Amino acid sequence: MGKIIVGRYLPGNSLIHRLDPRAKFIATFIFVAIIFLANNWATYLALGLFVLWAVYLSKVSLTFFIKGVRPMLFLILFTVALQIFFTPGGNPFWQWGILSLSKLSIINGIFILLRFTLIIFISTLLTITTTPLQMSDAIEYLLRPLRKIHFPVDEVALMLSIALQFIPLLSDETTKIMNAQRARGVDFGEGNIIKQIKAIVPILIPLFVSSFNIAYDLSIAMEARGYNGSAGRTKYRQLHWQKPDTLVLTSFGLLTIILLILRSY
Amino acid sequence: MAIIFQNVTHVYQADGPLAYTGLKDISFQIRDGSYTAIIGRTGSGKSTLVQHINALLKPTAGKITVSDHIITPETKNKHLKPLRKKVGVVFQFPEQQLFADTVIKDISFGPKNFGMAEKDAEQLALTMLKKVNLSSELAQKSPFELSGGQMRRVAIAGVLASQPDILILDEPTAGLDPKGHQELMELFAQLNRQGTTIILISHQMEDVAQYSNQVLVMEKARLIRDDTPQAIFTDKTFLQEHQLLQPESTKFARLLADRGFKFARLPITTADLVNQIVKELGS
Repeated sequence: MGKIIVGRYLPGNSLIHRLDPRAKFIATFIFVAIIFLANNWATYLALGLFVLWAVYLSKVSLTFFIKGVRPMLFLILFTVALQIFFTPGGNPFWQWGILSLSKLSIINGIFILLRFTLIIFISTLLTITTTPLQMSDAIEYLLRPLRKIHFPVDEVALMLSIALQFIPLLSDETTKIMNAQRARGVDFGEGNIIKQIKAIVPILIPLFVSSFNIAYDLSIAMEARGYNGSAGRTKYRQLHWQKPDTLVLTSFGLLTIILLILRSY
Repeated sequence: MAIIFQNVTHVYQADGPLAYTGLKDISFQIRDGSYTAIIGRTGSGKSTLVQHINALLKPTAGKITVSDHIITPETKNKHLKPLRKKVGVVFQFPEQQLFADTVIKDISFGPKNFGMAEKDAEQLALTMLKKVNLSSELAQKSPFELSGGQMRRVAIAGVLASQPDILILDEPTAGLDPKGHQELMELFAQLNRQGTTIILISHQMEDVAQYSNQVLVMEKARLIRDDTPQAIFTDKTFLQEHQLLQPESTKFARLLADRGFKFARLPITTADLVNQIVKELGS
């Protein structure tokens, strides 16, 4: 569990750490959208350089990002392999039944690999440089237009920020309960599948029970401190949109234009 | 069941940018049947230390010997069951580990995992229930219907049911009322008299002074002292330097001593304090 780094925050004070979370959020979305514009070596090179530059700006070591890709390596390689072996056409130089290998399919496979890696890099960059609270503030702000259709934006934002704050707590609790059951002789990750599923019950039930207890205590504590619905609340944490934030979005605009140009070559 | 730590170091998330040291070069020995207390401020590494004894955590350097088991950084996760049977752990707030649909099933969960037949395990569970001062009527109830104090007892009974030779207690009575606290501490002392090695993490200096015969003091991931409770609690400068409290009896005795009362040795328990005063006044 300790190996997954997507979704974990690494404290720092780089340019990217200080950006407005809304800017980072929008930028990540734009990136995931424009990555589909890439269709040749030049476009992937541009995207790759852009991502490396962003990683450099964040002052987080590149090896950390590479480690982040590792847990998903199997999924990525599986997809790439499917892409390579099942792409028809393009003068196959090896063929066996429906499986075929051609220059075209190999290139396609590499493109998919790059696409996965870049998306993982950029989303890791977002979560590594943004605290969960900033993230929920950004989401709340970006969801605001939905108020017009009576979507309960504030409630969703509250739920989100509570959920995010309790992730580390619940994950600590999971480790603790796992250790306690291990000390009582449970083996996790051993035996056949039924045995393994059975071994999870002694973790899941205590976790659920303690979530209920936490929810109960938290709701009482919130009420006692005067929370009575989201209407009419003020905000303590204010987001400030500054020049670098505009610059970031502009750079993404430029990247899109570059991609559009390179794409047609 | 001697426990020997030799230059044990533990680093959390050793290969990442978030690495931090939990234990630094720790060496000590615990004899068979001793009652060892581990004290130190929050975050000093006490819990990390005890989790090494049954290999829930493995050292990043050094060697641990627990009777005939040897734990090194290379130790594999397999074949640890015999060790885990020997070492019982009552974690902080152990009531959070209850999960079964009846109390008796929860208590017999440990013994069954260690290979005991279901019938024997449930028989044993009933005995354990009595041992922690709960009525056998609770046996068929759901653990989640019980009060907090009762849940704590059920959880402790569940650990005791595996009949460990070494019992690790990580603040077992935190949050209990004085009577529950007293009863449980007496139960542990009784187990110790019957030969169980006990390792207690506690912030209650009275308990440490009254029950233990060895005290390990931790500070910032290091073991800074390994001594008898008498030696530690009467060492005023040491206690002050490391911001540790002394038992109330010692505090009181010191006030008396300052006003000219003579003690053969500074008492650390109430019983000792009373005895010495009676003796001095009687003569």
